[in-house]
Amino acid sequence: MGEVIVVTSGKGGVGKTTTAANIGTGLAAQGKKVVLLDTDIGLRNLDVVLGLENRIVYDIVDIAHGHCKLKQGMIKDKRFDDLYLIPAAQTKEKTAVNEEQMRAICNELKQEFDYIIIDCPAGIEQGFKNAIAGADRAFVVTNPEVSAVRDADRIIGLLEANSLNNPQLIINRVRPNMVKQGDMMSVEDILEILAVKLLGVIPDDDNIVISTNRGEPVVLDEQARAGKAYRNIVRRIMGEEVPLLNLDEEEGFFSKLMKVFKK
Amino acid sequence: MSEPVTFKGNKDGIVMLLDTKVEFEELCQLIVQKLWESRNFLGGQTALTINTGEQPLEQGQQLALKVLLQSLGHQVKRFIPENAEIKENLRSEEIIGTPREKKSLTRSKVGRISNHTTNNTSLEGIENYLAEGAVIIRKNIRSGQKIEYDGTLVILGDVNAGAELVATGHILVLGTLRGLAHAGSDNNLNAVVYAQNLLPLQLRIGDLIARAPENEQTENKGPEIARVVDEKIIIEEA
Repeated sequence: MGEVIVVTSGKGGVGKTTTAANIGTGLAAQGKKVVLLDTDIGLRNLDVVLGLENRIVYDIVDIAHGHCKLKQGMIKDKRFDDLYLIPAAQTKEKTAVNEEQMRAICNELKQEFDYIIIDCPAGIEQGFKNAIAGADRAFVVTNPEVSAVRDADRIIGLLEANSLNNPQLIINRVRPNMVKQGDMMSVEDILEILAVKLLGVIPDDDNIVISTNRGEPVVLDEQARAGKAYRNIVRRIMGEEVPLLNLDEEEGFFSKLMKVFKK
Repeated sequence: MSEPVTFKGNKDGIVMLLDTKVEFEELCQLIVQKLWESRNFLGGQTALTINTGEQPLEQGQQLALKVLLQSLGHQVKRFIPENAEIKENLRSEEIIGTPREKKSLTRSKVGRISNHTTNNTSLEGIENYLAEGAVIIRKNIRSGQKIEYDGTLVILGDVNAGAELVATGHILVLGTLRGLAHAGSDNNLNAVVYAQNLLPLQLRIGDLIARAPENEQTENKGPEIARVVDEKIIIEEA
């Protein structure tokens, strides 16, 4: 029996889709059977991030309404045989699917897959309700910004109200230098406010932009720091104890050299 | 400047004079507008001879124009280049519009026609099948917008990625097509998709689906037409 994980945030633009794509791809790279479910109807992106946009024929609305079989609506990934995507519809609205239909889809997928990763839309309306309806577990993505943390807090409250207890936190786009100078909230600051378990910290990394534009998840990039951070999260999801990435350690050669001279 | 679109009558009927130096997309918009304005003058006359002036239209553009006009209830008798004989006939019998400026004819541009008249198959394909109705939409179609039409769909503008066009007839995009186009949606394999710049992620004709190659160059390749040959969607220069 598989596990349904919803990736949510409240605020938009914090990295839900990127996180869903990377966790899903990372788990598939570890040999797990994974399906990614885009519930952001009307503003779909997950297909683009995965580079599968040109393969879409059916979408989640077609599946929910029985216009196609579940199998027909699943797009196989280019890289991994055991990774699939169910895209959102682009020309419909969030209300095209209801919570009951989402629960049914999740339950059917659970029979066959190890992990069902749901990319939740921003906001707390119907789209959010649909996304969490069939979930067993929730990951909350936030940025080290007061507004994102405020929204994450609201989301955690809503998740708990819907019996999705103990959500885990992913802090995205952390810039260690800014944190050091006191210009950015630190991981500790955020954890103090939200008081939930931390799943991982992703450094701000230009490679994310590159990988997103190319449709190749950064988790497969051995060199990228964000890729390493996502690989660690994947291992934690699978139950391994992995220490947090030391973000300072990952400085470039040049800055290390500068430090030596400064001494 | 003379007007880019003018009508003249002669013994052969109505001639539409086009200034093909004007951007084709804009020209089409002007044609639609002009046909409407001149509906009283044109009366029941539906057959048009098109004089393309000193710079002939490329074959794909002729095709697009033909479908556009047919969708408006007009037939194209033929395309003619501007030449002295016809011009003189017209000068005396001009009915509406301002006289065209005389422009020197550049030989090199005329020479281009021959390159484009070699393959006529797509033109004939269109003539054999024409949807009864057609609609012309003069705007850019953006992501999330879906246009469904029972007939031929003509878009004067761009169709962006994430947008969907579905038509039982042909689809003509006089702009860039980046979104999804589904022509002949009621299983009509004779339908075609034409675009000034054809860069769709996916094309569908009837029940066939073709998707863009993974590493396609996005540079402007010129007008192209997609149609079905032997149960496969093929794309060729228009």
